[in-house]
Amino acid sequence: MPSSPPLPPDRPPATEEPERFGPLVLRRLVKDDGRALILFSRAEDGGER
Amino acid sequence: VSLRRFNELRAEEVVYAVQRQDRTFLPAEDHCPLCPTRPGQPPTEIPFPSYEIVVFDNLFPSFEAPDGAAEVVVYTDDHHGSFAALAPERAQALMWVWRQRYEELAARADIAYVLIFENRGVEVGTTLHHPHGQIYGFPFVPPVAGGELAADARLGGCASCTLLGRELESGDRVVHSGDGVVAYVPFAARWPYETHVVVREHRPSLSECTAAELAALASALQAVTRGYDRLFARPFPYVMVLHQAPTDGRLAGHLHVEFYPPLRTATKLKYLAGSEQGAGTFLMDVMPEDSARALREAIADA
Repeated sequence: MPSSPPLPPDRPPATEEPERFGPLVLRRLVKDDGRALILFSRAEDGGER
Repeated sequence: VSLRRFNELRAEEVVYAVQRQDRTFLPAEDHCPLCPTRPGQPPTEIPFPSYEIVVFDNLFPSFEAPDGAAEVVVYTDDHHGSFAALAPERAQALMWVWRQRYEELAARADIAYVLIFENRGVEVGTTLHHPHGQIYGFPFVPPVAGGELAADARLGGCASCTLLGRELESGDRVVHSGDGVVAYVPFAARWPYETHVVVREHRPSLSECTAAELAALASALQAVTRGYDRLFARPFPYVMVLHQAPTDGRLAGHLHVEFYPPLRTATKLKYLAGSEQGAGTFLMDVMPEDSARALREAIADA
């Protein structure tokens, strides 16, 4: 553990366009071993659907 | 890959996920796989120097596509935090994360039930101290969810609505009452400080909740967990499970969260022994009304 060597933190992996879900912003990426990872953060505008 | 076998005598599925035998077990803090990856430090599961909430596929899955899912939900990048200690806005964001994962997993044809849960404390088998929960996408409706659907049929309607009405009428076991959410020790609790946190309106899942209800749910869950920590002046172990509608097409069920804490005193555990395991009958050392009174006071003081 962990299984895969992540990219250096100063060079975050490429992601698809951020998505919105309620008050959240999602950024999806695929780890080197193929597993999915989603970063969730609160939208700056705090919008809710 | 997990295997399933049907246990005829118990009439239930058993899942064999033998790859989990070698999963990470209580690593030292400097080897925590859920901490951020910091410059100059060993890489972790999360390749960022900081984050708010992260969800990723479990490296040691109990279920995986195309026969279910197993995910890890990391609440914070603070290794020493807890669900109870999250800032209120972070706890509210977590409700939306749970909802997003419920909806995305519910849309998959191979998933019949989404189980969102947290195991807190070594007493309930947690293997990583970093604050986190898990999500299992079951390829079948598990027995507890099935039992709740059977209770709906037995009571001639939503069992949770019926039971909530009884608890509100009595009031003896209510430990927290918010605008949209109520928490109580159930009439027939199976753990000394078992608590159910129930949305007042009939909402089958997080998806049907208003934003205000999600905020009230976060507040109630934090009130209960802070009360737990206050109760014996120690980090209180628990299993926390969201109960929601199955995702196999039935719009049945009523969103509520159940806590199963194993402590019966500050230092003594309630064990599942002969009667519980061999007969399926729980034997309790404390009346729910008494534990509710103690927990209510602890929540007020927390």
